[in-house]
Amino acid sequence: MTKFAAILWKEWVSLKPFAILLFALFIFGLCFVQVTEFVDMYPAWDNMFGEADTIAIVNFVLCVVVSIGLMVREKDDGTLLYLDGLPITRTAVYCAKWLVAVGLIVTVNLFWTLEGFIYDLVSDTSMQERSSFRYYAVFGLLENFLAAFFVSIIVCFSFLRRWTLLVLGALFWLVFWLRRLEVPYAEFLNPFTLIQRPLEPGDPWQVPWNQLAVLSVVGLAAWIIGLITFNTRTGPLGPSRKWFQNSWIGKATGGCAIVLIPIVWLSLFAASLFDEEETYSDEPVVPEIVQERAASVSGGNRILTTESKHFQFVYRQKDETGMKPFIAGADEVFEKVADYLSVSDEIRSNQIIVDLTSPLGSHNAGQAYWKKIRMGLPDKTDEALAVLGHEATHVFIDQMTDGRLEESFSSTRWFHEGLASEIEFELFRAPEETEDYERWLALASSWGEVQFSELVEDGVLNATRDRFIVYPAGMVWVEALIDVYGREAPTALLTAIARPDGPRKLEGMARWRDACLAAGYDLEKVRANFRSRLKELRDEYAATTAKFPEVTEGTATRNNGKITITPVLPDGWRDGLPEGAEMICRMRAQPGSPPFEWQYSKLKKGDVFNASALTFLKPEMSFQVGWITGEWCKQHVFGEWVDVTIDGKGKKKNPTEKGKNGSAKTID
Amino acid sequence: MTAVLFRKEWRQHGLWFLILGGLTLVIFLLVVQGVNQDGTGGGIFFGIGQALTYFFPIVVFILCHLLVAVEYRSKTQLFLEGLPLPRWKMVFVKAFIATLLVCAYTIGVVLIGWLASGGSEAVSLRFLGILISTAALFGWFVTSFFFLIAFLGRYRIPVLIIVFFIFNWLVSSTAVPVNDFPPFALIERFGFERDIWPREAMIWTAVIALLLFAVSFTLALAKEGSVSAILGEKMSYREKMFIGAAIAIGSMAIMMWETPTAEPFDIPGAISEERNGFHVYVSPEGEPETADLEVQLASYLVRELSEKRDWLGISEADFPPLYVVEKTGIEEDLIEWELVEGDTAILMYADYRNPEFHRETLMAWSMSQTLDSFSMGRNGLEHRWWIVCGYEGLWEMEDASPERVKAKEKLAFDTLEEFGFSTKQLIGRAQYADEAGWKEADAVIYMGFRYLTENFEMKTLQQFARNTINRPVTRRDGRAVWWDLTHPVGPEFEKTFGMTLDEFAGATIDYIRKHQPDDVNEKEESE
Repeated sequence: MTKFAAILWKEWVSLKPFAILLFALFIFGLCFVQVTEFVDMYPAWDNMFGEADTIAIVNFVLCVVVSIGLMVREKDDGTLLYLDGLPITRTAVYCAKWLVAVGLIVTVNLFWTLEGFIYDLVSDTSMQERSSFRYYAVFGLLENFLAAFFVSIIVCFSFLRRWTLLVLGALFWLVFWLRRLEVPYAEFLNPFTLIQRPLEPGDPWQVPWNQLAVLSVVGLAAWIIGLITFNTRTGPLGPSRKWFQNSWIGKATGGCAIVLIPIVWLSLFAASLFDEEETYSDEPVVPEIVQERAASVSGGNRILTTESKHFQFVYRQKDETGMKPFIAGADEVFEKVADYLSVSDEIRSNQIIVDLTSPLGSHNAGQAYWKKIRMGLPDKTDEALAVLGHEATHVFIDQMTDGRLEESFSSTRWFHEGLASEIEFELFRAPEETEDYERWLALASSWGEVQFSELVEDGVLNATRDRFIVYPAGMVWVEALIDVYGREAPTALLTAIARPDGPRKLEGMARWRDACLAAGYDLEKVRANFRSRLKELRDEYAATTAKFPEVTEGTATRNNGKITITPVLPDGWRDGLPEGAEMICRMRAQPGSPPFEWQYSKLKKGDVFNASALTFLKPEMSFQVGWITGEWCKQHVFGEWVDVTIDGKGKKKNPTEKGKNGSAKTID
Repeated sequence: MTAVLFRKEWRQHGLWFLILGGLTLVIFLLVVQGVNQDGTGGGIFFGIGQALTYFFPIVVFILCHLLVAVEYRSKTQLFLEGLPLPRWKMVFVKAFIATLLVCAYTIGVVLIGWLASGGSEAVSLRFLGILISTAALFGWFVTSFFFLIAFLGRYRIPVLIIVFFIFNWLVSSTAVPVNDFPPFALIERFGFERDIWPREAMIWTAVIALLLFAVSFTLALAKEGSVSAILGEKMSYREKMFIGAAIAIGSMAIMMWETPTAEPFDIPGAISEERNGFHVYVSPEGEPETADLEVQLASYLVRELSEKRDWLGISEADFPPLYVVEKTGIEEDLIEWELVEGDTAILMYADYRNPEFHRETLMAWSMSQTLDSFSMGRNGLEHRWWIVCGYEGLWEMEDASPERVKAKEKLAFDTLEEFGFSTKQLIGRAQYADEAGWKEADAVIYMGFRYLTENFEMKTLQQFARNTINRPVTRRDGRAVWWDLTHPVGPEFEKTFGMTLDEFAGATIDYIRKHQPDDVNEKEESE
């Protein structure tokens, strides 16, 4: 046996217990899946290639467990001295350890891939194109590259002992931050996006060579640093490390490091929350009210506080003049909303704080939290009172339900906004002011029916439509509810949700089935009314909405550092467009891309949209075309997200499958 | 002597206490800044609440690690135990210092937050009292928890992981309203609730914290070779593996209970009919003058479907109720359906007042949906779905007019002529339906099953149905896959009818040709 083989064997023996544990867990998982899952419904396309995020994370965790003590344990346990006594270099020891660790993870990956392959075989259907061996080859290459990459990185930082995980966390945030700052090619530094299957089964799976090259360089550098560190005879810093650790200076430095590391983490965390607003690359569109607030906040005016019967107002001195009529009308707003919702005396007895000094999220005229409202102060008092009425409704909804709607906010956001909008328009605005919302909804639903089942799944709604559609759609649904069951129906529904013995954390349709049943209402009757209202709106505005075609197809090309989207537009689409009407487009690298990474563009010469290609480094992307309709409707109305392969053929967003085979239609 | 203990802790960890104090302040400032930067955070106290929940426990963990775990890890507690003072006093001093520091940190950040708000937070004395007391009490609870955890020595990390997993599972996968319970109820509305003292939550949080401290003291005060001292030993490699495996297996086992909540389903005021334990509900869209049509439809459906159910040998308990909701404006087939989460009911939509509507179609489609639903979608897999569609066609055409039957025959013939028909297309029905259209594929398989009815006894057809599509399946029961794999449809068909699927496909083609439309016959005759 050669010396290197011997050291390999020694490392294998050292990791064998862990290998046995992993194998035992694999067997347990295998049996567990056989017993509890329908494995003939596990095509590799969805269940393996489509779960790349999870697979990358699992690989990372496994690599952490295997590698974090791989090198330093020898030093910590004192066995490094024994190894030094052997006729073998530390480089050989390092290589052997690295190889065994990577080999172990690769073996585990192969087992999982084999499991997935077998499930794919038994899940075969005539419609499902069986995953080609090229897919498995590319997937295996990328997955196992990740294993080697992670082991190299973790080994490199493992010499930092207890700080390893913190530094790794900081690195993670650093990459996130670089992406956030839209640093060119920062996306390539994120190993968790390395595995990305093609858009459709059958499309060629291209190896992301550029990203592989970047990560290989990083991984190699980490590997070499780890090797040099391991080769340092006395260990990193040697005796001086001990002196440093025990001295006051060392302790103070360590303390500062503890402070600094979370600062790095949290700064990045904080940075991740900045600027959530959607900004247009060409011409920034910032709502007027936000601009006013920004000016107000930066004005440095003294903060004043004034109380009315039901509110406590916090505002800037410069707004004092505008505040007087606002404060004078506020209590009436409170009473009107409270009467509308039949709010109890107990809830009415609590004052609501109205903060007009703090910044607001973009696109927001106001925000409500439990017993607090944040809002700007519009020029017109009527407008301010309408916003107050809207936000007060949110406060009452939360109070009346004891926060139950918050428990399943993704299923209830539409109702929160719908009821608040209904009360705002019903009590505080002129009847004709609802037209803007109606037109917005008419146009959006003329492109595709706004389904109730979409409204109750906020994630689905946001992934396909404009997330702000819940305002008009929710409002019309509430109108339908009132039409069927009377004006007290919203209150009855809230009371039903808040009942003490009611189920908690219900999601989706179940939340509203339960609420309606408890209130004695037939949800289907309301849905029917909602549908007929949408149809009426579509019919009423059909002549105008026909002028704004939805764009559901297009192509994307990369050229001269730019991504060019060429939408497929119907012939003569410009004919009869109202004055001021134009198209806008927003683009995202992948469905999960956060809004701050989206790029915006207006229609350019040649009927194309442009954006910097730096954000779109992968072969796939999505775009969503919307309309600025001019005077007809103030809102920007977006269609559906369209997935495309860059420099490939465009694809329409998953069309609804016809037929009955195993698929259930959701309707409204 | 007690003062000496305080001085000892100060000398040993004083710098750390200061660093942790500074760290706490910095963390809170950053979190407050972070959550409020985009304007949606809700204010300074909201940020402090977030930091208390998600970041402050890290600080307290480090604090308790320094005060307790380090002592046992480095075995310096042996020296302390040799001193002439009771052991409880030693532990008490540590608990007291931890409590004091945590209270100082939490109260400090609330007061600094108030000052930093510069008046933008309307703070009354009551509000300030609520903020300070809830923050301090929550901090005390966290202290008691990590104080106990610190005594668990080498098990503290595994225990923390388990607690973390269980907590996450409770929050995200169960209906348990964790935030309603102390201590979480204390900070649920931190920074927003300004009027009501969370008295109950405060009392129970204090009780829980006291209990946790009591357990800590019990561990620490156990006699020679104390439990804490034993736990303080370093974990062996095998022990780590065992604990790791136990956690992994435990987490997987917990997934067993992870099933979505079933949708509570009912339609108040719907016309209902019941027969042999089977319920049908029909609900009109508007308010019709009479409910005659609904009653007739419900009676028809309950009679027909309960008969079919019994014919298939499906038990009452496995057969979900059917809800039919009127929906006008459905295009083409006038019938739609929607999945009910938990498969507790079958929900069909039908434009049943439309003159083009056929109740037989609704009955047959409802039966197919039921068979799909009660098998958890397994009958909907294409290698069995063609069987469901075959019976569906027979049921739909049972009482159909000769014109409808003729139309179906013509559709089958046209489909055959254009797309052909083979065993591959029979078993690979999904693609066949995708190419030819699902109604077209249904028409072909209907003709195949009609051929069977004309050449075999109904009892044989019944036997085949009972052997293939009448097995109820429950969630999380993977045995259904094994049953399917060990009972493939082809051999079952051959065993029942004495013919292979190839022969059946051939016979179907012949049968369809035999029943070709009259116009084709006339054309052929003239030629």
